[in-house]
Amino acid sequence: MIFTHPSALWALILVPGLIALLIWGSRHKHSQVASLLLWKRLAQHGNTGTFSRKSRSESAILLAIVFLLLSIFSFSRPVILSTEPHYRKMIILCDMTASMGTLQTDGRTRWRSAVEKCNRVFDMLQDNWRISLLTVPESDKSITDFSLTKRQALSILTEFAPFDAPGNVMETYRRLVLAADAEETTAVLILSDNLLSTLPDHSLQFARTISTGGPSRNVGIVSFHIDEKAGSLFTSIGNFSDDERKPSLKLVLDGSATASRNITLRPNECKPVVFQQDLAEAHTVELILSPVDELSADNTVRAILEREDTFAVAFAGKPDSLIQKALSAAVAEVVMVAPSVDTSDFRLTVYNEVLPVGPFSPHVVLISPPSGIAAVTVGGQLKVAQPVVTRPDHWLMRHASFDGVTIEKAVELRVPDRFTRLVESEGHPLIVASGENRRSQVILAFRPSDSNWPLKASFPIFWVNALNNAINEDTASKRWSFSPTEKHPGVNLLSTDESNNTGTATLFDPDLIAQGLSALSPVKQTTTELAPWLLLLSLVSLGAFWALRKT
Amino acid sequence: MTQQHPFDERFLKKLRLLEVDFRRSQSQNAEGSLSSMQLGGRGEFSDHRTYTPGDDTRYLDWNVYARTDRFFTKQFHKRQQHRMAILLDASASMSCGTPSKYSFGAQVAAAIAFVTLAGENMVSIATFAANRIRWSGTAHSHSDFPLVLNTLETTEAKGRTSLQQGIRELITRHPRPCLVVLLSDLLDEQDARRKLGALAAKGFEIDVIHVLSPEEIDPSICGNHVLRDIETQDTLMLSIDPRLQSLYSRELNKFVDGWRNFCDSHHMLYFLASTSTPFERLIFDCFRRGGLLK
Repeated sequence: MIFTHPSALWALILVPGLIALLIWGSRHKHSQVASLLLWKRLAQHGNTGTFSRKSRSESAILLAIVFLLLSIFSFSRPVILSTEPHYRKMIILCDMTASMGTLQTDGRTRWRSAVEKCNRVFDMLQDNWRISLLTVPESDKSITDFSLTKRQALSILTEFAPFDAPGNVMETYRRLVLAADAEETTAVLILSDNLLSTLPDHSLQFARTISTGGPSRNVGIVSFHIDEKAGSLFTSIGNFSDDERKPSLKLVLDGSATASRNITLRPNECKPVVFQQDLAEAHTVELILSPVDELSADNTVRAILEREDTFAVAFAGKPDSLIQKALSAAVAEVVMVAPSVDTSDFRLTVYNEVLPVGPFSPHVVLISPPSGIAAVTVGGQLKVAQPVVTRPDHWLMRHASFDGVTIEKAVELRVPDRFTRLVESEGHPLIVASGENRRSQVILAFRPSDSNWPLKASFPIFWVNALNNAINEDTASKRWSFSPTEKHPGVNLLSTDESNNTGTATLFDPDLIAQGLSALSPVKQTTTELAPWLLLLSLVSLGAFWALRKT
Repeated sequence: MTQQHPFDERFLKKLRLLEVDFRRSQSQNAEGSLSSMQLGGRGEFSDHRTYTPGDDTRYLDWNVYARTDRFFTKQFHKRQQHRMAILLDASASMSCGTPSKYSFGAQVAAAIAFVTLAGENMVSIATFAANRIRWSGTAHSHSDFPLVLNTLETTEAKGRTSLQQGIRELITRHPRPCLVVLLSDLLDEQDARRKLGALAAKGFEIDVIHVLSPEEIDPSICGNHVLRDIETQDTLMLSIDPRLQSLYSRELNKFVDGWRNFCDSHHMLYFLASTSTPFERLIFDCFRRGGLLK
C-alpha cells in the first residue's frame, strides 16, 4: 500500500492529543450529594447500567479515534497496489498430424520433444494460467474451456499421441485468431513441426503467439565452421524428413559461386560436407542449399570473416529468422520491454519469465541480463532520418555500421547518465548501453521493424553482439567470437537443445511477443483507491460517535 | 444575645394576618386555641347575663348596675393557648443546596413560629440530628421569639439524620399531644414513618414539610461521577446520562409519593418545599391552601 499524499499522515500526531482529551473528558468527577438513598435504590434495581455506560463511553472514545485515523488515512489517499493477477488464458494448439510422430535422431518423437519444450515454457510461466488444448486436426480430445492448470495440461499433453490424419495448423490458427475474444488477451502456444514464421495477425485481436515447432525444414544446414588457415569449410547437411532427399550445396564467396556439391540424404540422415577454399581474402562466405525447402526459406548459411579482428558471425536464413533463432537461444535472457509513451519515469524489474509490458505503439527494446533492472524514461515519439553511430569503438557496435539505415520512428528516450549513447539522431539517443562492461543493459529506442536496419548486415551483427552481452559472456565468446588464428568452432544454428544436427527448435516470434499483451507479459499491477471507502467509514464512525454521545 | 430579625416589617405585617390552623389539637389541648364561652376569667368580653346567686361577684358589671339598677354578670370568651412543636432536621444532608435546606427550613420554621406566637399560642423549636437535639424552650409570646431565632441560627447542620431520635425527644418533652411541624428532607434510611405513625396515634397533629433542593429534585449532573454521601461518606460510582436522570426523577417521585400517601393515610399535612420556591409564596399560598395556616 502506498500513500498518494503521505504528508497528510503528519496529522497522526493529533491522535495522542485527542486520546488525552477524551480520557480527560471521561474521567470520574467527585460530587457530594445530600444522600445516596435514591441513587442506591437505582443501583439496587439495576437501572444504573454503569458497565454498559462505561463501555459506551469507551466505545465513543474508540469511535472518535477511529474517525480521526480514518479521516487522516483517507486524506493521505492510500492506494493498494495489487499484483494479484487475474487468470491468464492460453490455448495450446497441438499439431497431432502424423509428422509429429516422426522419430528424431535422439529417439524421441517430434511430439514428445515438443511437449518437453512446452514444459520448459510452462516453467517460465506463473501459476495463474488456465489452459485450453486444441488439437489439429480437431478431435474430442480438445478441451476448450480454459479449465486446465499448467500441470493438468502437461499431464494431458504427455498422454497425447499423434494420429494419422491430415490437418492444417495455419488454418486452425487463423480461425482461432478470428474467434478469439477481442477484449481478452489469449496466448497461443503452438506445438507443431511446421514453423509458422509469419503467423497471421489480426488488428482487432490481441492474441499472441508462442510457437514451439519442429525443424523448420525437411533439409537444412545443421552446422558450419571454417578453418581459415587450412582453407577448410566444414558443414553438415541434415535430412529431417522421412523421405530420401537429394539437395545440392553451393559455396558463394563475396557473392560469387565457387563450388557446389550434390548430396544424397537418407531419411533422418545428417551428412558432413567439406569445401577446400582459400579464404584469406574472403569477407563473406555463403553456403546455399537448393532447392529451397518447401517448409523454410532458411537455406543459406553466411559467415562474415574479418581478418584483422577476432570476430565472426555466422547465421542462416533471413535476418528476421536469425533474430527469432537468436532470441530462442536464450529466451530467459532476452527481454523486450516496450513501455507506453505516456509513461513517465518508471522502474521495471525484469524477471526471467517476464517479456513485454503494456499495450504499446512505439517500442523500446531492452536487452538485459537475467534479473536486470531497467530504469528509462520514455517521452514522445521521434521522426528519425539518419542514425549516427557515436561510439563505433564500443564493443556492441563492432562491425555494425549504420550506413544507409533509416529509422522511420522511434521514441524519445531519456536514460540515466550511466548509459552510453551508441547511436543517436539529432541529439536523441537511439541505442544506449549501460556502461562499458559486458552483461550490461542495451536499450533500443525504436522497433527494428520500423526501420530498414534488418536488411543491413549490421543488424545481425549487432544482435549477436547484444546477445553476447545478454547471455553468459564466456560461453557467448566461445560460441560467437573466435580468433582467425584459432580453429573456428562450429557455428551452432541456435537450436536450444544444443544438438548440432537436428531436434526441435523453440521459436519465440519477437514481433509477436513484443506486442506486450503477450501471454508472457508481466502481471499487470492494479491499483485500488481506498480513500472513498475510508472516508465513508470515517463518516459512519463519526455518526456512531455522535449517536453514542447523544444517548 | 440580640438576634437580628430575619423578616422585614412588611413581611411581619403580613404574617400577623395569618393564624395557625390548630385543628385536632382543639379538643385535646387543655388550652385550645379556639375560645369557649366561659363566665369570667381572662379572655375577650362576649356578653352579659343576669346575676344568679353563686356567681363570682368579681365579674359583676357595676356600670350596667348603675344604669339599670340590676345585677349583670360579664361573660368572656376564654382564649385557650395551643402548643406547637417545630422539629427542624439539622443533619448534614440539610446543609446541601443554595440556599441550604437548613437555612430555608429555619426561615420557614421561624415564620411559622412567629405566626404561632402572634396567635398567642406557645411554640417550641427543636433542631435535631443523630445524638444531637437542641430545644429552644417554650416561647409564649413575641418577646420569646428571639429564643426561637437563637436556636435556629446557632445550630449548624451536621451529623447524620435521625428522625426517630427527634421524635423520641419530642415525646419526652411534650408528653401531651400538640401540633408538630416537621421540617426535614426525610432522607433517613431508618424507619421514620413508623415513628411518625406512632406519634400520630398518640394524638399528635403532625404537619410534614418536606424540604428538598432543586439539585435533588432535578439533578443536572451528567457524565462519570463518584457521588459521595455527605452524611455517611459512602461513595457510589455512576455514569449519569439523561436516561439515568429520568430514572432518578421517577425514583424521587416514588419517594415523594410514598411520603405523601403516608401523610394522607395518617391525617397529616404534607408539603413539598423546594428551596427554590419563593418564600412568600410558600407561606402565604402553599401553607394557606394546604391548611397549615389560615
